[in-house]
Amino acid sequence: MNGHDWLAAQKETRDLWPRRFLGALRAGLADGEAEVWLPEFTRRFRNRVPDFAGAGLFATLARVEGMETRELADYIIGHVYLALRRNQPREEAAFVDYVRRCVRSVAVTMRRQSLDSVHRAAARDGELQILSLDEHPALLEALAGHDPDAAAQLSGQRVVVYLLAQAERDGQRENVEIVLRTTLDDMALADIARERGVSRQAIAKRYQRGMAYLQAHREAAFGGSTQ
Amino acid sequence: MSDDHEVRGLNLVRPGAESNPRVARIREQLRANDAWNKNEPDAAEPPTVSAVRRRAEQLLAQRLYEDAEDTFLEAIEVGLRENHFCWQAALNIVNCRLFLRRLDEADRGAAGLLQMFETRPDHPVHYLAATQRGAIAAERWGMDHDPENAQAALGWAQRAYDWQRTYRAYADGLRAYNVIVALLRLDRRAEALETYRRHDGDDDFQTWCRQGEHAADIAQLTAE
Repeated sequence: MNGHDWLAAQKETRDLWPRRFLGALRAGLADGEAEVWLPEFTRRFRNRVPDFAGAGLFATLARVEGMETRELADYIIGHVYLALRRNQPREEAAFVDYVRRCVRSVAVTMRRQSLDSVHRAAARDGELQILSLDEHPALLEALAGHDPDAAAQLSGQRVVVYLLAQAERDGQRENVEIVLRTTLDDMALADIARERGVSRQAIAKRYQRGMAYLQAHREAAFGGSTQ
Repeated sequence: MSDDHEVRGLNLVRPGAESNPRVARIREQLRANDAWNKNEPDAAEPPTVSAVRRRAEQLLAQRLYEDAEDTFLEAIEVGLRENHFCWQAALNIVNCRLFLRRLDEADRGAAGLLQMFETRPDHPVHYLAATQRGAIAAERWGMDHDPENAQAALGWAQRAYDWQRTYRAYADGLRAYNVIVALLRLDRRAEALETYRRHDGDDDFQTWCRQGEHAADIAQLTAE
């Protein structure tokens, strides 16, 4: 066997399920037919839901909703499947990424709905809604530098409140807000630029300044525990 | 900081540290993905191929397996046009199929790779594909508990382990961990313990034993 033979063999067995599924979606799934595609859709994506949703957010949802991991993943997949039937992706190449974004969107919506009004009011700081940094371990760990234990030991909420207060005093509040909104609210820089009526480059610069500010203040935010 | 960055740096894992669920998850991803951990760079890879392969690896890191598979196929196609076979992309096509539980196709792909490189016994494809075939057999065992699959998992784990001892002088932590897990699957506890003791002082091995998905079984074994 040579490289050409191997490649030909792989192409013969390449995964065509996403294309077949998209074709069926475009043709419009009848009620009975929808049940035919759902099991394979679930099997494919169940294990990826925590990653697509964000591991921390998924864990928080499981705790708050009192659901088992598999039960919650299937619940989210059910919503995504409905969304796909209503509004299928336009391009074949973007199918899996579209599913990823749908999963994230369903998870964020679920979390927002699960915050009661009192909690929501407490979490809202000006225009910035903080779901909680605990639900975004990647950002928390980025802020904690190379010390994952510091991130594990601290409440993300406490870190965010501290950083925002400090940034306010240093005149960096807007820059830090942009970083947090892109991460915590999953907002694109372009959307923030549109909302404020400024260029994307201007927001990107503010984002960079905000990130640099956060990195410079992480030791203080984590109580000096990062070394 | 992305998962990918952490996987490459592995700087979150320290001997003696408590198990961190997130790191454990990353390391589990790494278990099947050691082909793209820069452990086995391909110096002959043309830049045109590297660019496509890296794009595919990013898709894989985001768990977009279907898209990653297509892009790895593209990397191989680009390479073949320049008389280069991108074996790292080939190994990751096997990974994509393994992650999608398309086990028969994954196994056939890995078997084909081993066949292709049979005249070059020192090539790292031998231990990487053997590790994958062991993972596929273990996955099958997980579905049917057929002892033949447990035996196959051990055979492949042992082959990867032996390859490293032959060509690299020592077997790394993951290969040793895989042999122990495969032995435990067959309830061959004395041999598992013997292998464990042989690698006892290796930090990488200890990390696998503490943070791998079979950490509880190994802890029980060593407590006996």
